[in-house]
Amino acid sequence: MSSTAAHRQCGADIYCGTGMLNTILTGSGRKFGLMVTRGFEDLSVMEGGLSYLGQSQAEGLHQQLHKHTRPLVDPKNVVGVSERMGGGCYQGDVHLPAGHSLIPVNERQVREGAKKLLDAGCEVIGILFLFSFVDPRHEHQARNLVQAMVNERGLAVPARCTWMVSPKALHSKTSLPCPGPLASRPSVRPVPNTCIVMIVACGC
Amino acid sequence: MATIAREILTPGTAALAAPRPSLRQVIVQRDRLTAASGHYYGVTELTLRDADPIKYERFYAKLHSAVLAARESARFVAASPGSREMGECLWGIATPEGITLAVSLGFLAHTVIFPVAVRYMADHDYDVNDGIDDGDVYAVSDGLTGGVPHPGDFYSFVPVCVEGEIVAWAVGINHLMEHGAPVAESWATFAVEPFMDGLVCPPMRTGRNLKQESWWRAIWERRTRAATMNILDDKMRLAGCAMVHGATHALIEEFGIDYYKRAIREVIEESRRMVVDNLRDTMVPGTYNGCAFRLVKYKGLQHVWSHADKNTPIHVRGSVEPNANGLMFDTQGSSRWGYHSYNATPGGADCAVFLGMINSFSHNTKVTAGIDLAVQRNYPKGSIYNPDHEFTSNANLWAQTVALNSIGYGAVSRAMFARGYLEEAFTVDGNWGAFQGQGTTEDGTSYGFTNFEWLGGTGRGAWSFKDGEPLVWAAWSQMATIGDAEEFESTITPLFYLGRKLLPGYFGHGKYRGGPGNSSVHWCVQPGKHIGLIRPNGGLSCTPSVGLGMRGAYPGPGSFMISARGTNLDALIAEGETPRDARELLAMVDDGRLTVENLEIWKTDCPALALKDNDLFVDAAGSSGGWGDPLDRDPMAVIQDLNDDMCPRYDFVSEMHGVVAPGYPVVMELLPDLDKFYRDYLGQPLADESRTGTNVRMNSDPQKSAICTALQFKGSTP
Repeated sequence: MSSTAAHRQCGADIYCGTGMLNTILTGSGRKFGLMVTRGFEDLSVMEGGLSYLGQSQAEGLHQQLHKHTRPLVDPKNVVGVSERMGGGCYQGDVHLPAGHSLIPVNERQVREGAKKLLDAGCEVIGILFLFSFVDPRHEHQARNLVQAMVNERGLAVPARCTWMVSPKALHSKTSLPCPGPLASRPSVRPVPNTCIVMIVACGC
Repeated sequence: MATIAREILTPGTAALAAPRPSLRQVIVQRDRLTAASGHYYGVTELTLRDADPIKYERFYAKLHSAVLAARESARFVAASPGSREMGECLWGIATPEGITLAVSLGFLAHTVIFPVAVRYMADHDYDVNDGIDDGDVYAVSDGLTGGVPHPGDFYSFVPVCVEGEIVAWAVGINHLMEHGAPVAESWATFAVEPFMDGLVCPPMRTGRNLKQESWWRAIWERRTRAATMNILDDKMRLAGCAMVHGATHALIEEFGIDYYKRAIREVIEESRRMVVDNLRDTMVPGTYNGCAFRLVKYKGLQHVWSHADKNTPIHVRGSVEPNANGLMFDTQGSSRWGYHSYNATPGGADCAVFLGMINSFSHNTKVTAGIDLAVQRNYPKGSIYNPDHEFTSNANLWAQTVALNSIGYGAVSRAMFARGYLEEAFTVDGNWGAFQGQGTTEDGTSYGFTNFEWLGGTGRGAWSFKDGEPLVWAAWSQMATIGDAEEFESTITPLFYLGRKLLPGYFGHGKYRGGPGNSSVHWCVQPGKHIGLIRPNGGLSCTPSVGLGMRGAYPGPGSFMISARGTNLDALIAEGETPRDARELLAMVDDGRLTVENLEIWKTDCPALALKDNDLFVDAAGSSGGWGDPLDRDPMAVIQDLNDDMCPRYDFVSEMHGVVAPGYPVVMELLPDLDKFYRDYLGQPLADESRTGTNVRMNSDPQKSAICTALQFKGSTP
């Protein structure tokens, strides 16, 4: 898709790197809920251990200065769902293929998780499953269930899959910030596709 | 050619009239001038810096940026997650004698190793007999002759020569994924002698003109089990070295060789002085003692090598004593070497000792060999740190010497606390883990692997004024990063993650608790012909911090692993209730939900574990210690940890801290039945009681959170 075609589908073209950055720094966006592969519920706290990013070498070498940033998602608003998508192995076609569904999506847990997040007042729900960049079926399936529950309640809570905004490897870590901007500032909320534009602009 | 012999044999060259000193002579002269003056190379005045500080700093900035750029570009040549993503690598530039001038991010402490290999090459006349040419490539992975902390850490050295004279070395390092020992590994756990350590290379030329020889590729293919990754890692190291090599030539072209030669000596002397100043400003005179212990449990596992078939306790003893020239790190009193894989060499031990020293005293200086000159070391001959036997295994050198770092770093932390630098003092630990092994898929494809994740980051110990944090601490690289689960999963064909979490309650208790450690669950699916896992020991059977004495707190618990073979995992998958961490797995075994035919908990070395379909391998590592008496802990902090599930067992923490948490015994009793709790205790039946029929588990956090909220709302104690 060309840049022109992409922008034509957007409600507005806004260069909002600053807006997104401020939203993240101040935590002033919408209340955000995250649905992850079961067993990865601590993702937003662990941050892959990356507690030195942005520091100079002098600061980085002095480990007393390392600390985690405030989680983009409140750990209480992270729910796990049993599912596993295989991503294949680096040796090639010698084992289960990439995109092999190892554990089907547990729809009961999706519903329970969505209920918890909606009951907690989450205004945006992100879905982040391992290897969705290889095959997004599981994320898609969960999103449809979540969206159905949202519709049942008559809410306007968007459910976003990470494969939609960052379909690439290193997913479980680097994609986490992507749904974060969905918790956007009031000034850009009325623009439906703004979130996606923001993410692209940020290079996430 | 930087070769006296060749120059003499080439009539008419300038070298014939004025023979250039050999590398050995250069090092002897450096040592003599440094010892006689107390200043590096006898540099007592920083004339270039004082005459034109801007030019001097610009010079160093260019040197420094060359190695930084090398790392940030070259590591993407690698295929192994350890190097490309986690950054288990380093590039540096060193003087002709191998003394560090500048290093990139990454494996910082390896800086003190560079001189070991260069000194070996000099002592054995590499330059005189064979010649050392610009752009040659040398491989090094031997502990004794190269100083490496274990053979899995592989070095590439590239000399930078100007008009036949060695003026610098570009150096690249990374940790391989598999290293070709009898036990598939990057740490050869059960090695008895270096012949079982894997691909061990004393300094050897493997390429010329920034290009490896063809035979070198064959070595990777035939002597290791992860050839693809190792070959690309090799190219990665060389690519970075080539960048540093080119940048150094350009630098000399710009500033001139005379300026370069003088400036590199001033840079090192300047940083040495700053390190000594830092030491004086932050340490309190005296002797700081520490100890640690490790058990080598080989009894019953070494039938072929009967002389090694025994258990060996290793006593690690270290002391730190500031002096006029810096400080002395003394290992007198440590155990003797043995027929096991945990022996060190002076160079390898340095690699551990300098972790804390660089963090503490070099972070605000140019990171050079200045720290090397300011910290003196004593490794008594015959001890485990300086064996009087040339064929000791060094495969797990690293795992063992991390305790030395804990002692030295802990001493600095105590000194900082004594001087009132509270924001610098915390409980130092070195509790890491990893797993490694090899397998063969159904079609006969063989592979070797290492999962480094719990080596990449651990919890940090408690501070003197607050709790420690999870996953911000990596003593070994100072850049905590556990890598990506998807990356690691793709390198170990039949293993799939079922969990990768912080492990509740997995830390040392105190007035302030340590940061929690981590745990992963790996699920075996279609293992093919074979898969065998083994641990490289790491924090197993190790007490890295027991003797550090952080005012009455408990040290972090050691790392461990669990093999659960022959399980009913299919039934649990159907329910969506698979175990997510070590604690949950053991709880599920206890209450019967998870059935296991062969459940083993490993706290020491274990033989290779063969896995079948639905077998589980679980590991836990990275815990850290507390600070202060647990009875002094703020009761509200105890309750907060209970509410957050950071401490999962009320009875344990209640006794530990002497705290009775309002509501908690009742919560614990009623938690298995949420409906009953709301109906009978709160008197407010859940609206969806009949529909959900909730029978929650104790660690089901949403429900527990709801109960805690309800208790606060009710505002009463049962």
